[in-house]
Amino acid sequence: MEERPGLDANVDRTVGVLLQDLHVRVPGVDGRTGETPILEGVTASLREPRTAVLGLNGSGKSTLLRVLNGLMRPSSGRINVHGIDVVASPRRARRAVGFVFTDPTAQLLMPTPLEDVELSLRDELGDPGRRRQRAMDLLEEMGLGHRMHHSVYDLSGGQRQLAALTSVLAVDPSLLVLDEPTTLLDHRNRARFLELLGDLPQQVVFSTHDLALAAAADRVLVVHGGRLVADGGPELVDRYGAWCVDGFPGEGTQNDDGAAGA
Amino acid sequence: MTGRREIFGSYRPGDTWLHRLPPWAKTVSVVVLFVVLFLPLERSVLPRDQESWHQAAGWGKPLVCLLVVMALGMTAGIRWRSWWETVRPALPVFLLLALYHLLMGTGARGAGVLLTVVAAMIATRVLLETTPQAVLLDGVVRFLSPLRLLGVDPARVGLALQIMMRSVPFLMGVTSDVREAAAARGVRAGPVRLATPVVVAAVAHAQRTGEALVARGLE
Repeated sequence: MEERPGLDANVDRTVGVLLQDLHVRVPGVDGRTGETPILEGVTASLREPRTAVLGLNGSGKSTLLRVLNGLMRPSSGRINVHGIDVVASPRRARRAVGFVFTDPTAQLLMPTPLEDVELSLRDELGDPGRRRQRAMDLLEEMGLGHRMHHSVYDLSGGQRQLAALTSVLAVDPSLLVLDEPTTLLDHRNRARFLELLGDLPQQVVFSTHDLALAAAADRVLVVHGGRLVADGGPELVDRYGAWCVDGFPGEGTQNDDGAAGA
Repeated sequence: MTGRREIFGSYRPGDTWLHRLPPWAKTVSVVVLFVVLFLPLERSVLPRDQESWHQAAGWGKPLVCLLVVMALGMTAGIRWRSWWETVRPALPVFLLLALYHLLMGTGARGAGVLLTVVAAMIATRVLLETTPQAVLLDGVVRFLSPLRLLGVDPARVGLALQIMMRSVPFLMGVTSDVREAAAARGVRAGPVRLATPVVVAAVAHAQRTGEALVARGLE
């Protein structure tokens, strides 16, 4: 995909993603008073092309991803994505950070893939004819040309995921965030999706329960109980598998084990 | 989720004369047809004492309209199944209406009412099957552009309409899902039992849609 400098001239991909002492708390749940911490003191600097976020259900990994595109505001801490201060300018951040939800039906807002991609392009291409042509080209590139006029409900799960990805990539984000991208895909679609992901020029941060997918990343973060309990390379994936069974480092203690201090 | 039906249908690409006709011409034709269908022209044209003629005209006009619209639709390659899909979900209501008119001894008027509604639905179907929704909504947005003077953003209205239309099949899917879930546990879910889970799902859908809009920077 060609560079479109008009979108946000201040985006600087070399800066990477910087998280500094990030805290997210929400009002008490389960009838308790006070605040419930979702993320606590997450600090990381991500420059690798592919980062996987591992964690159990409810560990806070989805929250971590949401914070990256300003969908969720941190209670304290700083986030900088490619030179954009996400807390100070969430709208700019959302334009620079593409977010793909686990369930593409939640993400596709329009009745057909073509209209959905056109919606993404609305601010960028004023002329409806050109917008339509560009949307058609993008869907064609993704191999969805034959399905672009179909109802999103008539598409297969894999096609929906591709349609959602096309809509997000249409505005050429500099960072792509994927929340459990392969959870709803069968093995063939998963393989296709991985291949596609490998070719993307964007920096990618994704959460997953798929250990093979995580092992293909350049950087692996492990979130547990709202804390970043491990931060390293793909070799962490095997240890994570063991922790899921034997218990996580620092489990049951109040203090972080220091791995987050990178 | 399964079993989503679409009452009004969605665009089916084609290259017939109806597909090529400019959208404004099709929309104006549908509006004119609606005016003809719903205005009781006979009442002003015919003398009051010719009651039987009046009644015959009451269902004759919509029947002619219906046949003309269907004939036009068929030249655009719209299939019988489409007509059936359009009418089927409304059948219970039609049946009730027909029963009421038969019991009240106003069969001819009942036929007129039913044919009027069916003709209107079929005409809408022809419009929506031969015109991409995006094109129609662009038209709506252009039509609303004078509202800009009042501080209304027509593009925003168009987007809201589009999201609304996208939500209709979703809600129908939720309804059939809830019904199936109940049936799987051996319960027949009537309208009252259906209401709560469907409303909860609708609110959840609205929240997710809002989040998706924000996530895509479209808020």
